[in-house]
Amino acid sequence: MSPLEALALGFQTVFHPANLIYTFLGIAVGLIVGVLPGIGGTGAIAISLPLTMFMPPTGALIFLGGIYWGAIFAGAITSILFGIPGEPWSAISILDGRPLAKSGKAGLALTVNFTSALLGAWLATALFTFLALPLSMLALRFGPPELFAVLLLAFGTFVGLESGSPAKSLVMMAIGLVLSAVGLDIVTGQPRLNFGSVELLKGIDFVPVTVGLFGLGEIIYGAIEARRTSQELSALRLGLAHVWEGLGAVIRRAWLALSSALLGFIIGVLPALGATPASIMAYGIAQRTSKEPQKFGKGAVEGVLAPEAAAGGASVGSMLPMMTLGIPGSPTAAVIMAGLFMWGLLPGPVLFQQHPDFVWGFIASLWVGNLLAYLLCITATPALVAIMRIPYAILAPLIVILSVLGAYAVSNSMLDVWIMLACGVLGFIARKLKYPLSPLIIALVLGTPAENALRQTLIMSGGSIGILFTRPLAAVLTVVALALFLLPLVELAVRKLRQKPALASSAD
Amino acid sequence: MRRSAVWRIGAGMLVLLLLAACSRAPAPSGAPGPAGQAPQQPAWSPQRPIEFVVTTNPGGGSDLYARFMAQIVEKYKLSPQPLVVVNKPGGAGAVGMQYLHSKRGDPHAVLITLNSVFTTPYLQKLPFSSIADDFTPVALVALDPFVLWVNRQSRWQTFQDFIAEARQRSITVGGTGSRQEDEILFNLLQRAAGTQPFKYTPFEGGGAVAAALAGGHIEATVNQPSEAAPHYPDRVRPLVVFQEQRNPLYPDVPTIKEAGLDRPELIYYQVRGIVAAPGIELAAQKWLTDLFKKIYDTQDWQDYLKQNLMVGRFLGGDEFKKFLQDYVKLHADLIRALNWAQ
Repeated sequence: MSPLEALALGFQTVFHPANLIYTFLGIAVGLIVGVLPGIGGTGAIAISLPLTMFMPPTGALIFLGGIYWGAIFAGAITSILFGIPGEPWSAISILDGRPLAKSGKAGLALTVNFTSALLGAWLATALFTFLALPLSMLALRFGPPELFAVLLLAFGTFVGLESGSPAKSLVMMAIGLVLSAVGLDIVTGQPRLNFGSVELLKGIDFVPVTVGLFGLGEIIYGAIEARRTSQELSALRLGLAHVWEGLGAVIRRAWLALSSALLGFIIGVLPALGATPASIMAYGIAQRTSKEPQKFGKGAVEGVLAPEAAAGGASVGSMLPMMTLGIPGSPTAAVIMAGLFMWGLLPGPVLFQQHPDFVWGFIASLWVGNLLAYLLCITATPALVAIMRIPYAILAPLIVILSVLGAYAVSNSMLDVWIMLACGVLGFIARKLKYPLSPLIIALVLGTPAENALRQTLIMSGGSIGILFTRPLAAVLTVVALALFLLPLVELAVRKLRQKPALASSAD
Repeated sequence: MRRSAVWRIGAGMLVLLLLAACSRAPAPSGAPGPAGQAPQQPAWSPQRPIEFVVTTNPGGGSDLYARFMAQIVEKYKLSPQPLVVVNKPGGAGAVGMQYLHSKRGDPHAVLITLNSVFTTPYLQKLPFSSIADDFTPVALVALDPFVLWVNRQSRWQTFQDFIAEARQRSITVGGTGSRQEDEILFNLLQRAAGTQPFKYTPFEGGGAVAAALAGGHIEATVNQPSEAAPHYPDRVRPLVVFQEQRNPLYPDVPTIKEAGLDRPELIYYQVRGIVAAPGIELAAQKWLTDLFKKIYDTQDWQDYLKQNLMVGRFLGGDEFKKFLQDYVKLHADLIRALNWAQ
């Protein structure tokens, strides 16, 4: 059966009325939990999983997948509107989405966000449809050394990017790494930096920190700086004008959208990383390759477009090795794989042979579900933008309440609420002293997986770092990453060298 | 047919939305059992929803078992009050165990075990040490077997091949976490067979371990059947099962005893059991044990065990306590011998 024939079969399955309803329900749940911070798509899928025990497996998978796509689309809504991320993978979209919204272009930012997420998801779905089995082999070749090299690459894309003081970036990155070290060390099983507290053994979660630093921090800053609203309502346009502008903006940057989507897809296929590192890497690369990198962080359209395209690609990509090899590409895909077991199905090539209706029905639902999520989001955009017209005096307390609830919901712990509040103060101080926030977030997200991968690598090699250069795939990635690290230094040296002769000649 | 399925899903969605809306607040009980329905009034019955404490994030292995059981309770109306799953992740079970321990005397909370309940109290500074004696054992609901796996390309065809080489050099193995069940089992094996110390690489979870073996990045694992299933038989080969009898999934694979190591500690399982807070009254303990017996006896649970490649075994009350005590002693002795305790 050729992929096209199989896909036709899949579309037949999806367009069955019951399956269309499952798709719609899944997307609706995903959109709701995607907007709420703290309750993530992964958690919602886990909670719904037992409900699917009474559903036909195809409908169940389409339903759970729908939650994932819905959460991907909706995660950035609160990032853009309020500066608090609904999902971990949309945290990086705050950096440019929030400034865009503040300058009255919320509609533009949202449209770019949704459209690039759809492009990302569809590109990944196309690759899934036609190249599922060969691409999945990529997941097997990535052991700890290769994963570490990829994470090194992710850090590398951010070196030398901050337009402000490099020392300040380093300080924030160090704080992020220290926070990521808190909790039980999985390599030695020893508690680290928990100061005797049993609760801190669980480590410091990404959500309360981001919500505090960005959402609450900005509100405290606004209050103390006595900037009445900090939103420019005059430029706020309702209606569809910004939607069309957003569509045009994505089409003009189609190359960036597609390459970010491809990057997201590949990161998604690799074991365990998922959409969050993908969105961060895409942002870094977009800034690095941009002609106007200084615009990033102040409301660059590319700063919303690239991470969302990558997140869309990664979410679909992470399902591919799960279905073909039983290797989940993201924590969310891992939960869905548990569902397969529950329905009595085993992932693997056999699944493709024995249950083509299930597999291809799901693949067809990737096309349909993402489009549905997109259409729902884009029609809701004018209404979402209207939220920005609520007076700041009403909106600000609501954001605070949402932040507290979101922090608590992560693991039902008051500790997370305190961490969120403390990070709010830290976020205020950092803004006041012009310390950049993104290095802290990046270090917190990538710190733990990078550390684990490095230590696993070193255990495998008996302590020799040479393993990063003797395995071909790891070697290529490591060399590229090191080049990225050294590039700013080389640039600096070149600039200094050029300056010197210039100075010397002017002294003559 | 199709229509009723849709309605059922609709009802399910409503529950889900309610759950999401009140951020995992207790769902309203479907049917508060009217007094007239029960022929004999039980000595104790729950007055409010029972918290089902899970020590992993939503989606972790034991989380799904707990949610599945809560669903069975709802489906067959096994309890006048629902089981509500509460995630208390962190510290290899320390956060969840601490939470349950703080509910001394309150029967409205139970915890689903992983083998970290045996190791964590000895590795961390906690106000309790034995899951058998410092908590109230309720029931064993399943055993998850361990199997020794190697990559299919490996030259080791039998357990003997593997052990012969393990006695010569330090083999790179992988497992879930540090100083937890996988590393425990490799240490038990090393002691029993007199091998070189294994080069143990910790991973975040069983799936990552299985993938690393399938990709040839490590040489052996002690994954559970469900974790290795996606890679069997294409990419991994089982060499021995750590069970009393052969596993029907792999009828040609010898048990550890048949392979020449007749040691009781090498009959080793991941224990999927239920414990309650310390100091609850006997009637409440009995009620909880009965509840989990009813869950265990449903066709749904038996099917679920089969689909997840686990071994069904039920033990209640004192029998389960004895079972737990043996596991506690095994782990405590090994941790002492390896000098892992703080």
